[in-house]
Amino acid sequence: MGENRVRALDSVSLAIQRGEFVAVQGSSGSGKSTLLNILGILDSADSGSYTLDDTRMDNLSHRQAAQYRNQFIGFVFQTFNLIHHKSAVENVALPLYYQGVTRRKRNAIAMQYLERVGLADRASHKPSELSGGQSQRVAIARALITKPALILADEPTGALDSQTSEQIMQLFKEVNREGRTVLMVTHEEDIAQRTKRVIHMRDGMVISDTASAEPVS
Amino acid sequence: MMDRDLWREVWQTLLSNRLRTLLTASGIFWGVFILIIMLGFGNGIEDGVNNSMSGYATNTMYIWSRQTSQPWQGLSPGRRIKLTNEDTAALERQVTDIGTLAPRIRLASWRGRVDVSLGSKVTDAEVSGDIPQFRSILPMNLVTGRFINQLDLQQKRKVVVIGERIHRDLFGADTNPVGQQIEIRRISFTVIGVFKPRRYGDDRERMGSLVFTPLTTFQQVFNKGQSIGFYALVPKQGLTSREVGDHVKVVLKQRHRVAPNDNRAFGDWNTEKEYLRIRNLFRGIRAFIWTVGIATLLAGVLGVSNIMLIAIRERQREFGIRKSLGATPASVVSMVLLETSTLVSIAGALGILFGLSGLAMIDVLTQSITSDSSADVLFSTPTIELNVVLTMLLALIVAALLATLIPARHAMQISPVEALRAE
Ligand SMILES: Nc1ncnc2c1ncn2[C@@H]1O[C@H](COP(=O)(O)OP(=O)(O)OP(=O)(O)O)[C@@H](O)[C@H]1O
Ligand SMILES: [Mg+2]
Repeated sequence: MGENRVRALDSVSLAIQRGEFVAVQGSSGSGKSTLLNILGILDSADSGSYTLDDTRMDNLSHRQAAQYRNQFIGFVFQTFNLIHHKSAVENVALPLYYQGVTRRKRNAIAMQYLERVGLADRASHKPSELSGGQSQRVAIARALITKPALILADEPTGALDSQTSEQIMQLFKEVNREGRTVLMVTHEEDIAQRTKRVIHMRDGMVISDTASAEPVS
Repeated sequence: MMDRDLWREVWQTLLSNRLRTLLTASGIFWGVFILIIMLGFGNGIEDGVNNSMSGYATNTMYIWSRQTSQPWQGLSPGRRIKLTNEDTAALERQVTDIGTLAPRIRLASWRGRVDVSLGSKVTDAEVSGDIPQFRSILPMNLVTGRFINQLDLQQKRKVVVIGERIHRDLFGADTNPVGQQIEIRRISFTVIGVFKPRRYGDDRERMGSLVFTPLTTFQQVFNKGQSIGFYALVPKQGLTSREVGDHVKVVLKQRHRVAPNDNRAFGDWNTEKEYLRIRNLFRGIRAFIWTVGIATLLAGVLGVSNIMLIAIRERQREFGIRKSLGATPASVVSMVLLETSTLVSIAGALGILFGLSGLAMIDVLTQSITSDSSADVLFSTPTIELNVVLTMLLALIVAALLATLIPARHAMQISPVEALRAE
């Protein structure tokens, strides 16, 4: 960006073990999203390295990157990022489309995941017909459908009220209990406190990395 | 990846973005439709003009004899020259540039008329003696019967081919006159054919008043001996009638002992100017049709490309989502290409279908005037060549695909994060 170069991330060194539930906190602009995007292979770092499942992610081909995103990572966005012309069940099933699963089969699987997030009755609804909490639950179902080892969520409850946030949080905890690694960006202290580990960031740097006081129930 | 699932994706995208689909499709549809109507109409006009001008567009020269104006080989000036059958034979032998040579003779002077009658009905006509070949010099449409033939000439049959006005005046338009007798100067002739001239306006009335008899018959029954009134001739392809006319005059001057520089002994008139003017008119029409056609196509191509460019931009975010879920750039590009080609093919096919139907409709609506060769209409059945249509469609498809491929590939270079940030 010309003269106004911003270091979105600076000398971040982080190791996350399989099965962890990590919250990333920090003020706005501190680099939380940038970190998550790099971990999700949606963005790449200018320097440094990222190893996922013992494989370096720095110089992947388009095809390999696509494969990792598809099979290894489930991403949940603050703004849901559902495809507006697809129904809930089709949105959930989309990652399986890129695995070559037949329509019938992937829609059946997608239904199971919708059921799991409590939205089976909204399967044929378009995103525009869903509330924010419902949309996010659809997005979570979509992130889970490929049974990824790593779930990345960038302020998944940022656009939701506290009650809905609670439901979403329950979902993530459940997912983590199944053995999936969950990394979640959040502003809210109480939500962060319910994870096992909290990372604080400021100006692109990790300033603290502490195990959560409150054990996860 | 050309499986049913991909088709489903394509259909879903096309159907769910109705406005965009409609805009793109209508761009292509209109491009093709208008071009077909345009070119068809243009061809119709060209054919129409062609038909109506065919009566004029011959490269004909007329040569007649007059009086000498200079002394030559002891002969004094002022001598009247008479053309005969022998001149005809000599010209056929000696002037090889001639394509068609038609010796002609008339009952009255230039454009003069004589009475022809059927019982008590009388009308006036320009009666001439002609040979079968004259028909190729003066284009005409035979309504019934036939023109003079070689046998008529050999056997000096007393037969006539009459113009439509004579037919109407003597028999009435609904009566078939073939086989009936009409009288010219108290001599009976059998009608063998009726023709319509392929000319318009005043010319039409005059030509509808022509009455053709075999040259030999004419010479015999009207006591013209071996006389020829004048020559009508068309040069061989590629030659001007002026050049050939000059050759003809050289031969005639020799035969009739006329001074080579005597320019008054023979008169001539040719249709070259007229011919050239009409040829230029054709070129103008052609150029116009092509200019408008190419401009239309270009507008179509630009329009479609534009919509495609915008469409890809609009979908930046969707592509980002797909990529974040594991779509490879190739799969997204191929999906978009398939969308475009599906859309263009359907819209193009519809454009062709409606365009051709439109032409058919124009044809039906104008049938009443185009089928009547007597009407002053410079329009004929609109037609269009299939390969022109297909070339056009191909150009549109290629343009649309390029306009999809280039921005789509470009969109794939963008990282998913950036794509997701797009609004
Ligand atoms: N597309 C971009 N171009 C330039 N700079 C950017 C871009 N995206 C982010 N940044 C900068 O990078 C830094 C980190 O941004 P990032 O989005 O990671 O912050 P964040 O911690 O997620 O903030 P928020 O809590 O507001 O979402 C910020 O200084 C931001 O201005
Ligand atoms: Mg952020």
